[in-house]
Amino acid sequence: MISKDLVAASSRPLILSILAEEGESYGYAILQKVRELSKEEINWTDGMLYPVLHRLEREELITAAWKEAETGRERKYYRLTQPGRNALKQEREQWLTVHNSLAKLWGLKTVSI
Amino acid sequence: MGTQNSFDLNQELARWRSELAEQGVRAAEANELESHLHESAADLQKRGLNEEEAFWIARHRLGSAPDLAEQFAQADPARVWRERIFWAAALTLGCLFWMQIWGLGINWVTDLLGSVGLQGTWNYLARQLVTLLPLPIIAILVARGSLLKICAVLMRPFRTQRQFATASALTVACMLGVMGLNLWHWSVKTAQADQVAVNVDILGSLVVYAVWPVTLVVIMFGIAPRRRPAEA
Repeated sequence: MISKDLVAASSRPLILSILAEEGESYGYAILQKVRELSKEEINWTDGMLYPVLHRLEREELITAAWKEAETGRERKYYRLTQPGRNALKQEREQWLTVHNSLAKLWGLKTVSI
Repeated sequence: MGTQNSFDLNQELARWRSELAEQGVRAAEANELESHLHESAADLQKRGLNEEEAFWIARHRLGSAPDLAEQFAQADPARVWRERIFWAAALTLGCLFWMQIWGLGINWVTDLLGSVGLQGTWNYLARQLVTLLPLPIIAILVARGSLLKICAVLMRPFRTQRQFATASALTVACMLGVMGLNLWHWSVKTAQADQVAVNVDILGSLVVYAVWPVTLVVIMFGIAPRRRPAEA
């Protein structure tokens, strides 16, 4: 299981990356996607996601809009903005730099940034 | 586990939202959490749980109301301080009115202090000190956030930035008005009273009305930055 600190630190790039891949998504689906990608190793509590989403929204990295879902209920969908794409690019570079540093130390393959 | 017949989803949702509101979670945030709760519960029902079981498990997964409120507050610390300062400003208004009623309208404190030998300027200063007693207590409660929780329930409709700005403007206007009236009152009495005593009284009034704004400034610049969590 991933440590709490790492879970918190990775929430931002994970959300931005999922929104970049999906186009738009909503809280519950983002949470499910993270669980699926990490095979339940990244254990986000359901409630922790929304404050992070709201912070990203305040930073104008994502936008949100309420829309009617197929179930008939309203859902708040999030979408990446252009500053969000730039932020994701920076996040990617930083995380890959960390990854490559550790990979070299541990004798693993590095990836191009 | 199933007490399906007695379970009322709408009632439980209303109760849950009320708990969230009591902890300071805003309606817009609660709407989104409720949407999540429905998604999560629907998923659990697809796996064979009944409505009640699905609701309680989904609610548990979301976290308790205090935890949710704490997480929203941590993600936006400036908001917490906006709200605290709003309530401080609103309370200042109340305190000012109270002090005027107490200090000018009720003479029993003066009489009481007089009966124990405090007369003239000392009587006046002691009375002002008595009226100030609740202010440090209120300041501590505001800084700790305890008062916010109580006030959030009592005055839920007045939690916007515009209301805060209005309350702040009114507070400043009231303070200036009260100080002006006080100074005018004593300047009128200058001709009839001992000049030194009048000057002490004016100084006392200025101190009395400066205490609360100074307390607010200390809270804003002294405590707020230390409580601000580091950006993730």
